[in-house]
Amino acid sequence: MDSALLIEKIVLVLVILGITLLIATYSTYAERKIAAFLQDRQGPNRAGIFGILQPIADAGKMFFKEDLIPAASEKWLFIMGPGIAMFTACMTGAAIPWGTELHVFGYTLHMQIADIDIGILYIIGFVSMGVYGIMIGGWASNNKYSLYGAIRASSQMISYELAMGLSIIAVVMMTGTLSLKEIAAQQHGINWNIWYQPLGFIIFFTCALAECNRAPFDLPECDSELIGGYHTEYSSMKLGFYLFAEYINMFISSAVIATLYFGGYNFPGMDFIESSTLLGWLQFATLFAKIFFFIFVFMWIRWTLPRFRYDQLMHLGWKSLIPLAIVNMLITAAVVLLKSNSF
Amino acid sequence: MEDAGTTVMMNQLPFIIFSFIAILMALGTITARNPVYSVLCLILTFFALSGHYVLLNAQFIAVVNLIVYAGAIMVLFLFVLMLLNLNKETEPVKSYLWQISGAIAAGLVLVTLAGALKGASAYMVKGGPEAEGIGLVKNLGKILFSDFVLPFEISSILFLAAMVGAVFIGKREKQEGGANS
Amino acid sequence: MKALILIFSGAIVLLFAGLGKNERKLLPLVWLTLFLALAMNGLEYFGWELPWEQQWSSMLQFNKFSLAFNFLLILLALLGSMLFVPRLEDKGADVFALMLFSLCGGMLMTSFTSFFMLFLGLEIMSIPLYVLAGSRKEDLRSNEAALKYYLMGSFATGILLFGVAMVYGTTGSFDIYEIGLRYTGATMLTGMSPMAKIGILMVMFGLLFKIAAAPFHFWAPDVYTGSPGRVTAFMATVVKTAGVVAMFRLFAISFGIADNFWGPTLAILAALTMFVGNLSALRQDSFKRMLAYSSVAHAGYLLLAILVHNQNSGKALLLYMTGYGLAALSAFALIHKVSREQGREDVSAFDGWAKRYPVESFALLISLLSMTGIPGTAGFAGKYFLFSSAFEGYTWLIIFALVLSAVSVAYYFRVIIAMYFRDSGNDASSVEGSAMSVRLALIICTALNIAAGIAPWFILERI
Repeated sequence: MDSALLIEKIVLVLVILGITLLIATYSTYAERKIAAFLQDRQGPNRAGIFGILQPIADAGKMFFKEDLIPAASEKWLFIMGPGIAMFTACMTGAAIPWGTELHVFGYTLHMQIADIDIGILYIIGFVSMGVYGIMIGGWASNNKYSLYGAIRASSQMISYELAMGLSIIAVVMMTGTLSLKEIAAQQHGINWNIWYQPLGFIIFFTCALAECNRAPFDLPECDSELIGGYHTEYSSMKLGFYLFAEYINMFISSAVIATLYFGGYNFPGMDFIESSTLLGWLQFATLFAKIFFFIFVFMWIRWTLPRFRYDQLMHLGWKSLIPLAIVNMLITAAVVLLKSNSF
Repeated sequence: MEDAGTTVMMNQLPFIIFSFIAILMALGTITARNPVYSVLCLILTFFALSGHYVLLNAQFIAVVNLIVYAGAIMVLFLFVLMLLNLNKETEPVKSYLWQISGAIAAGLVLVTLAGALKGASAYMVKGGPEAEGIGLVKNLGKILFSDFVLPFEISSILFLAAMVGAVFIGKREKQEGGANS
Repeated sequence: MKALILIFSGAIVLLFAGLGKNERKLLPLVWLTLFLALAMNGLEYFGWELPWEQQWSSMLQFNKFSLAFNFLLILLALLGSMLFVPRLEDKGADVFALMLFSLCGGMLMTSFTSFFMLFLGLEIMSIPLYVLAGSRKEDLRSNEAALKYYLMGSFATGILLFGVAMVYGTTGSFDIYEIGLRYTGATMLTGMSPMAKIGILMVMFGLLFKIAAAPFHFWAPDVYTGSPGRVTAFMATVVKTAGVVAMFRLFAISFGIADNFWGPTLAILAALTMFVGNLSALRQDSFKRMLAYSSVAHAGYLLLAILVHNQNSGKALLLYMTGYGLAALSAFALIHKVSREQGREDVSAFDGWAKRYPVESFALLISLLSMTGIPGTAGFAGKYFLFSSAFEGYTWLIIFALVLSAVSVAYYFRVIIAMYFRDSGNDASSVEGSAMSVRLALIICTALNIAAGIAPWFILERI
């Protein structure tokens, strides 16, 4: 490989990873602030101005807490669990197009780490891998609440992955490609997929909530029944990893939603901007604005809706979302077929 | 000569690594005492196999292998195993005679296979410009819906039959007599 | 192909029909489907072909050979569905639909021209059966049968696939004719490569598992005994036929050139299968288990056809399978009847049967005579043509087979003696007449059996 390209990619990987971690860190802060806002209270306001240093203080606390490994646990798996969760969460960012090109100091950066031909499948693959972190950690803890959490996580993930995949198929049929770069590029200007796939978006969004174990689908860590769910036995930075992975997943899900349905880096009026440098930055900013919006929606939902009961969750997944997704897929297929035949 | 040897080695390096992982983990699958470890080893085997698929330029199969096998089927395996709570103690113990005879039989099969495949050369599938991107989604889709559309459609019978079967097994028995219902 | 599509559609219609409350109409629907499929298959046999069917000849080929066997498969399935009156818990569309699916798989296995279709057919046939074997959910033996069949069957499929991979590795093709050509060329030039040999052996072992030939038969007695009657009958007839025919096709077309390599192995296995099957059957008290072992023994005779793999042995195979299939169907159906009435399946349950059930006893008599190979039945004709087609090359094996056939008289006649020469002690008041469909099917089976025994050339000339 060309060494310049290699360096470019490494820089990009580091930058994206840094941004991911930073956003995940500050998501915790945002979550608490939004919760406070919705519940009409102050939220963190001691560390720094408006409590802006709170996440750093939290991280410090996590680091220096005592790290307990239960004596009856499977030690290796107990340690591996959070690692897997974190690893799979971070891996998904590689296929997302963060923009087209960015000009920095005379270099042209291509804003996608890997333009994989089957990018969307790659992301589904790693998302489906994410459940192992939770399952392994929950099982290895040798605690029945953890085990319940792990089992709930796995069945929930599998159930909602199906509807998610089916709703993605509709997008794929419409765009005719599996590459996220292509999908993003096709939604030029305001020609976003959401206008064609509103139902698909609703299904995908619901499933994304479930895949991230976010409320109202947070049964794996449902604290009123299961103490802390799969991470009951975890403490210190291992717990931190689990919590972090959840926020990273939320970030990545938002990015995928933005890319698949809301035009990714595209924004209306982008053709009128002459300077390619400015356009690059604006695209980058647009995507992140969309991502932040979705992260906000995730949190909004969490602090508004009550949690599902387990049978309701399964009911929704198997008896509502999957049939709806299939109907959506069939309608899309019919329209695609008609269009290709008669127009 | 040595130079050529090293390049060949370099090209084969990923293959050797993936094969090594695959074989090691497959061995782990059958030797691990704890079934959960077996499943985890099997998942890693699937990862290594996906690596092989990528080396063969079959990205689609590689990813689908991960999604379907590692991501869904193995999760269900793990799910069931975690609920079953199998332990070392509950594992049935086979007598030594069985173990030895099993080892001898399997060893003979291994020797036969190794002996037969030692000098074997595979039939070379012709490479060419069209063979270059054979595993890419586009080509795969085209071939699937032209040359192989019949097997593709017929596999729907298989899936339907499997689904009906699964539902049949999972179906609750009808209450006979209906005292409670 | 049209019959196949018809059966598949019938199964789907059946599943929807099962949503309704009226479960009485399901079985007639199965009969109708199978009957139409039989008629359709007949039309196809006499040359009715739609233009698009030729297009798939690289995957499936419906020639006289496969259509004749498909006719037999559908006929056996139809008679099988008539012979077994469903129990209360067996009612339900899914059981019948699964059987129809399985039949689809069997029909693919008789007509494949590509390993893809062989594998698909094998799986479509097996997977519903794994479920069906355990369809009596509260019965532990049925559960055991399902689990055993499933584990053994998937293991066998794995071995088969390993073999297929090696065959592909040496030929670069999945097409059975292409493979035959490549192996012919390779054998002439350099001799068979070791990899090809291993591949052929593994394919052979994988298929031998399915037809329950020794030493891969260990699952058979337990599975046959534990499964519900209709499933056992289906396994012993339809599945066995499909498996043997698939093996015949494959070994005649693809691997025929190498028969001096796999021939001796298969001959020894055939001898072993006959030996184990017949001698184990001798020792059984349960009639169902005895028939399971006898089915193993018959698999041994059937392997003779594969050993010879020429036109004549293909014809003999059709005749033999007709005779054995008809006989086994009625025998299993009557075991079913006995076990429902008396709750046991051993030979003594048949004591004095002839007085109580003259029609049923006669049907069982004819099927047992046919399985033994007494002249006048299809079983004799099948054995005669099968053995004579193999006599040239495998004289020792034929003599061995004849000796074991003589041995088989001992256990088949135990049942006949029980029926006709023993007294049950029970009075005649416990007679429970068979349902109309059962009686009709028994008469058809018996009549066809005798007809095929008297005029075997009518069947022989179908291929």
